[in-house]
Amino acid sequence: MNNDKVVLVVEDEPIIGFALMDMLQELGYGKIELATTLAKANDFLEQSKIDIALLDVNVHGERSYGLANELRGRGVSIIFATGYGDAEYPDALKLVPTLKKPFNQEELNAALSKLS
Amino acid sequence: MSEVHGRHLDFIAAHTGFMAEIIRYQDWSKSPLGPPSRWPEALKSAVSLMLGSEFPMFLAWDHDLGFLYNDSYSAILGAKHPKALGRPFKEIWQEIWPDILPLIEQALAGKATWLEDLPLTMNRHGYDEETWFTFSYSPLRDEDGRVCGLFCACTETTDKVRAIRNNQAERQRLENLFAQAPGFMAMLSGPEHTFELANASYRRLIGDRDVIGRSVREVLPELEGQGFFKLLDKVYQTGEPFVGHQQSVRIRRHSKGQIEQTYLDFIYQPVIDSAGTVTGIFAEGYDVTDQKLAQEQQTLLINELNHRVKNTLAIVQGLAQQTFKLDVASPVARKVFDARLKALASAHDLLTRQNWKAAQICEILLNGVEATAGDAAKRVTYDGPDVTLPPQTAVSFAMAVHELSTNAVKYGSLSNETGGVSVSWNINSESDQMRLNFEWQESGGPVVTPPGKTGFGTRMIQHGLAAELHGTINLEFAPTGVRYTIDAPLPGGQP
Repeated sequence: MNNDKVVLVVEDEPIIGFALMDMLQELGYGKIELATTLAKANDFLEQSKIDIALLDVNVHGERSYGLANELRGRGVSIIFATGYGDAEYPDALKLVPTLKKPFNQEELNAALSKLS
Repeated sequence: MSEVHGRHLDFIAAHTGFMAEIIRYQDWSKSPLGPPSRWPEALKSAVSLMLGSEFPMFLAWDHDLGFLYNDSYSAILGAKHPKALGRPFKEIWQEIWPDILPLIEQALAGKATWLEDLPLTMNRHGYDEETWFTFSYSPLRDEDGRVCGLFCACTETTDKVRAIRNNQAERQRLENLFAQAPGFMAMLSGPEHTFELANASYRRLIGDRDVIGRSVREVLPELEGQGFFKLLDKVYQTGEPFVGHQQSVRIRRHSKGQIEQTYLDFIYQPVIDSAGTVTGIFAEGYDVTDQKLAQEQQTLLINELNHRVKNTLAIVQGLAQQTFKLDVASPVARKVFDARLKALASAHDLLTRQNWKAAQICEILLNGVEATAGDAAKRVTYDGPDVTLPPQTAVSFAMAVHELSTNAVKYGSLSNETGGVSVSWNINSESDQMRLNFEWQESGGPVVTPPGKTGFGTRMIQHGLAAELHGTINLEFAPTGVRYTIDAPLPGGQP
């Protein structure tokens, strides 16, 4: 049932991105796209329909909050991934589920399962 | 003897005390004054007046100005007492004679003098001593009205003058302390909080505005709405001090400058008079803006460090996940993992050397190839200008170089004794966007066959770096040697 879902992974470290793609693949997701910059992610957003997005909070020193708002506006379910201990999200994004780096496949799966 | 002048000494007999006693029994034959029984009536009256007083007094009579004094004056004489009795004035007080002679002459000329706190250096205990006296010399006349001597009532004011001087010195010291205090201080008086005093630090804080005699609301209009006026009113009304820590204050620190964000540690201390009424407020404190900003900077750095550490751990986790696959024997995978971890650590070293700002392409290459290829690294040549890469690109580039050289050592041109690698790069500025062209060309190795499946190495080289650089990457497994090229916009925009 995950097979037809499109997942966008926004992660500026390719090595982490690859690992995330592998995890998602093993969890049965069929279409996974890696964007290592916010610009790439925006491009992809314009071209394809996305169901779920996994967003690194800090992408090359820039916060991904703008992209997060844009995605939510389009009805995309989002999950943040962050290395910051206590990230202060803007009010509108306070309730976005967060995975703290480093996280494993079980934690990723648990976060994905909670999405509606 | 005493019997002899007894009858003529009634003017002394009326008095008790030490001086009356010695005047009575002194051998006057050697004194210029002669025996008291023969003293003129005017002198006798003056002596009687003097002996009857508790105020220090002396008189000096006749040509030699023979000296007579009372008990109170004997303390002023110090060790000169009691020898001074009957001796000439000049002989007793020779050390101050030049100072007092004009005054004596004036009195003897018939004109009284009055001096307040006159400084005199006396020697009355065997050493020079700074003293001050308030005194009056008045002429003493005989029955015919001729001036025959002088009369002096005096008091030593040394202690008073010293006390005033100490007070002045203390006040000066406090004023200096106030003026030069590193912290800012201001004294406000009345319910309008009018400036009475403000030290240099305070004036610096507010851009050298005129403050004295003006109210805080007049002097510092930009504080309106920041709560300080209300605070001052409250301190004035309740008499309770207020202590502020790292209080945010937006203030114009330079006369024509912008309003600036500052942080202050300060106290508003009510000044209370003896009746218990608040009369003003003493404001003092320190500008802790730098400290506050340093703290914020530190918090930011710690957060950033935390983020970096967590991210690096996630990278390590990613490396592990992609290295330890079920189809790779575990001792082999461990070796590969160790090497990748080393390459990652080495990339971090390069970045740390540049304060985590950038790393040189050339350094990344030399570092990565040498760590992987050992002696065979000598067969790698480099040719290209200085190009720096931003941190994350540098890490990805370092990992790609590691994978390229590992592949070359295992299967490519560094796996035999004769092959080599020629690495070259340049910056192409022909179009309006500067582009980086990079080439890794292997030659002289065994005949190349493309790998059967795509591992982490190939993935890193092809997709990882491509994504990072937003460029075109080409990996060719030509039979004569692996060729890897990058054509990408210059990372960071500058060489």
